[in-house]
Amino acid sequence: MMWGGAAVVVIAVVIVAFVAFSPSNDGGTLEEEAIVSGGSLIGDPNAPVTLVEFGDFQ
Amino acid sequence: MIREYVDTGRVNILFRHFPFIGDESWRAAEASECAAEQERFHEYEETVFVNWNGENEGGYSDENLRIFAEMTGLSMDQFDDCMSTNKYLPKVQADRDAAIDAGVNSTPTFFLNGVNIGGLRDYGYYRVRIEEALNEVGG
Repeated sequence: MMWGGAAVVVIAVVIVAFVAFSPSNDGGTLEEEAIVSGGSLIGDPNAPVTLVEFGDFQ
Repeated sequence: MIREYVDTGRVNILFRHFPFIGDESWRAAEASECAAEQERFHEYEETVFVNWNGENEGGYSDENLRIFAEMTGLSMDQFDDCMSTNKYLPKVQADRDAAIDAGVNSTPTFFLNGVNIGGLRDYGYYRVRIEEALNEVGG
């Protein structure tokens, strides 16, 4: 019983920490994605600025 | 823009998928990733755009996507296997989810270092925004 209670507390702390440290999403920015060369990337993978185009083929 | 910023190593361009018109958008997106696997993404993309014949009118049926792959000179065994196993469906889905999370609701939509700079505009606009982004990173 006591260990069960401790486990619940630990889980609660982990959940609170996770929520608190998750990046906020303001709807206007894009999560950084690991840049991989080749594929759909044009240019130097190490370029300081990345332009992402979201597109549809139609 | 490519000559001025990409060829000089200051900007790279990453295409991500936001299929929203219909099933064929999804299959075309998957096909382009199957081409990317063979390092022919841009050649394939060009072939597809040149042969576009209207929204959802059979232009991107699996049969036509396969013809475009042949025209692009892809290894067809590899392409067929890639398409039939939906190998890149999770990648396309992840791109779309990221787009929705970031508030994308039309195409094309551009992001510069993660910041939404909107849709298609004239070159002068991109130039200003790119210079701003380069200044921010000290480039």
